[in-house]
Amino acid sequence: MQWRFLNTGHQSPGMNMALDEAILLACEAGISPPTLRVYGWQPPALSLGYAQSVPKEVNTAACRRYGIEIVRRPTGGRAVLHDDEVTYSVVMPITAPGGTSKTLTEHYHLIGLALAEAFTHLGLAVRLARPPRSVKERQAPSPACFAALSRYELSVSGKKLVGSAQKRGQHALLQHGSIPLSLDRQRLFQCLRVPPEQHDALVQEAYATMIAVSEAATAPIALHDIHAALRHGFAITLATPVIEGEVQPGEWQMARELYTSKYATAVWNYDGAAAWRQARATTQEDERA
Amino acid sequence: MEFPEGLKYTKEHEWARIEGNRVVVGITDFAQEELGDVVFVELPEPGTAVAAEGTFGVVESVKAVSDLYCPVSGTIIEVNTDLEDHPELVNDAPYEDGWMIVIEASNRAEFNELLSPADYQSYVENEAGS
Repeated sequence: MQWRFLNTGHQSPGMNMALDEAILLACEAGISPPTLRVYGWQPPALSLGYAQSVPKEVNTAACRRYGIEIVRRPTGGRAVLHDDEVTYSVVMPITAPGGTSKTLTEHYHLIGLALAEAFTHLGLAVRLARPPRSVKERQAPSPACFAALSRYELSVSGKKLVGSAQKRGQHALLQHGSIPLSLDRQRLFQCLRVPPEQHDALVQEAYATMIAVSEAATAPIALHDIHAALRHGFAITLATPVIEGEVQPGEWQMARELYTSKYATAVWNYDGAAAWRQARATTQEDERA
Repeated sequence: MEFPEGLKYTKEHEWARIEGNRVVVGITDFAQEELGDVVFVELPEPGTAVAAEGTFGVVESVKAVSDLYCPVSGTIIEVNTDLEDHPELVNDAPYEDGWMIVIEASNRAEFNELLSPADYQSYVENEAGS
């Protein structure tokens, strides 16, 4: 199947995640083609990795105060503040038709190359960081995703430009990432549960480790040019056309179901995946009774 | 890369140690190496019914979230609770202390669908992009 390009505009945080999962499920089932999607967030959100703890890591009062929704991703990693940004989302088969499976790292590499091509096309001096084999990331101190540079990620002047995370199913994977157009480092750490005495130091560190497109580029870049560059980067790297398409009715329906049952629920977003599964199992038992 | 004898394997990179009707399950050395540092393992409660090729849990590493797939159908009778506080056991000892669940198998015929160590090694070297 031919690669599809989708621009679903600014959706709610829950619907953004629901669409990511719906397209992954459709690709896993062989119904949907490999897809590059771009989207935005309305309202802004703090997205958490699959296993992160809201009570331990999130300042929920600050999120409420600033109008920032909390949503849990299906992918792993750490907290990301989504506001003035382009989010990219790739859903693709793990095995190319008639070919071998790619490993996790090979997929990060492939997508990294496509993103690098896109940003080079826009005139940014990007580098693709090779993953360090010996560094133990498990103990990384920062709760924020962008503070860690690893696994074929893009940097400009040594600072992370794109924060990505991947979820792998049996036959297909989802990799999505945040490309900040501007960065509010203060707001990010206000939304996280960090000791007050460490706040300023973490913000300062973030100036050294994170960068936004507006900071990396020498002139303003329009949103539609970033979208076009991403589509170009994937087409060149994959050596295949990436054709503008639409979310299919079946995908919208699955996304609405996932939104209602999962990504709009406090159990999933605040209590976590295990609590959500337990609640669903209990509901399904009650319905059968 | 280890492919211990005495175990069976799946294309989803799980291993199974068959002890009568008990099947001990974990993920292989290939899987843990590809995942990188495991930071979280989500496992079901004992008593949960599972089906061959269905999912039984989730593993998160610094690189990705990945579903875990059942090699055989049956009921979960034991879960490795050490992995809650020590997910690194999956990396350090994937075939020993990194075991994940024990299934009471309901269909022994499914054992025949599992791969031998040689077949799994061949699969990993030829098809799984390693």
